[in-house]
Amino acid sequence: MSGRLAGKRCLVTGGSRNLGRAIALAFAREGARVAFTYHTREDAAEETRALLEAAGASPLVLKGSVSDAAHVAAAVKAVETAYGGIDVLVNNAALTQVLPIALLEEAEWDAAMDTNVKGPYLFSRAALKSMIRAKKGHILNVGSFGADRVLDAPVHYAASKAALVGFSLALAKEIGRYGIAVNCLVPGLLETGLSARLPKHRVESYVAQAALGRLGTVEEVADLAAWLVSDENSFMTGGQVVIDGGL
Amino acid sequence: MTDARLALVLGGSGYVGREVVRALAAAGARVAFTYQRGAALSETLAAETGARAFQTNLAEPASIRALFDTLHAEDAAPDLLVHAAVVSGTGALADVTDALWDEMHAVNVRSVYVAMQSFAARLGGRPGDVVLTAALDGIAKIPTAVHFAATQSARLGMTQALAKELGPKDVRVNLVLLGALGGGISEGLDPARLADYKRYSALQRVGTPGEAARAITRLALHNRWMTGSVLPITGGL
Repeated sequence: MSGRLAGKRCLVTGGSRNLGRAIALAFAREGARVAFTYHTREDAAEETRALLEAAGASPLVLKGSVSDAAHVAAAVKAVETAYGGIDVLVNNAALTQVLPIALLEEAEWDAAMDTNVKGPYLFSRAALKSMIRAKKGHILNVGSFGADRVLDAPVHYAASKAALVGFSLALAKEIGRYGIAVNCLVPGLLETGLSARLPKHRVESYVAQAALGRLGTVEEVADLAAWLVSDENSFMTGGQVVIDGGL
Repeated sequence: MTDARLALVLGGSGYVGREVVRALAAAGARVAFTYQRGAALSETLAAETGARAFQTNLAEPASIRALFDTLHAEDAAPDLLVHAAVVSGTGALADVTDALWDEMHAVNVRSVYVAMQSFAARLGGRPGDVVLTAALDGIAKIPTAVHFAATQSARLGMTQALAKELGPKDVRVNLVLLGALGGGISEGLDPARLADYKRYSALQRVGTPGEAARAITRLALHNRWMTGSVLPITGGL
């Protein structure tokens, strides 16, 4: 199959819906072999599977929590067994609740950290063995525009995404010697996903402040993701690539 | 879609610029580029790619404006602008003179404003894409000449301001940040400094102009919702 990612063996966490689904689809359209994980939404996962199959792919669909080490080990092993290795890992799975700090329970804080930070650590650690052996690979972590700006963002979500930046930078330095790149993709507010759960005035405020005057689409971000993990992007690591419409 | 793009590459005969000219032309854009020295190289590049070469002194605003006038008169005003021209410099603070400061700012900073003004004025409602380039020197704490660093960080500020101002007109402005690329302005680097770059960068090597050009071309041709952003092609430095 031809395409920018022809033959690449890719694993996308949180691939059943929204941006994760769009990334899986963009990768498949670029010729990649795609596996994706999901946690709870089996119906959405099956929709994604069908969309990928319609795009000519034969996806691996893996159920489990990214913060469950046993699931992570099993998922990575399944991909390695099916594809013979992993070239690209996208740590996309994330969770948040739109809450002020006063209403934020400790369990919600822990759950965000587990999914948004521990998950990427577990998946990266597991997938790296294959990449280091091959002396190549891309890890793409999906961050947030709330991580390093003074914005209305849930504090646990912002803190977890800021932690993911530090994780990406340190990991980039640690494994660059093996030819493996680690970058952080930082999308702004998209038409699909979080924006549906935000108050209307927050969405309008974003549109008013963004230079391009609109929300982004998951396809626009997914297309960038596909380029970032391709062989065309060969001298970027430790990067934070912001795509936010000019917020 | 890309075959309709009218591209102008400032500094198109340079180490990175010539790869951008090649990549844009290969993608089907109609390309014009400027050069200052290196007429022979530019002639060869034009013959190779079908691009048109214009000798233009970017230190002279009148030359830049005349180029845009010419392109406009030929119904070829660009909707895609890449600024890959740069003058580098070395030396300690004590050695920087007013003249050196001004000369460097004329090409590295003023030409960006002049070209952007002319570019935006001639879009005529068309969407536009702009990719500026800057060396890492202006953004990171690395040993470098102060007058050069000032010009490179100026480009970052201009990227952000221009993105905000021109975004509502569907003009995207982004910056590709360049690390050591093994040639071009890196040629003037102290070998010990270059060895440090290799040692401390995550990928432990210098890049190539082709790697820079691929990032620039991707941003120029295939981006819709990124503006005011930076693509760091630095090898993790």
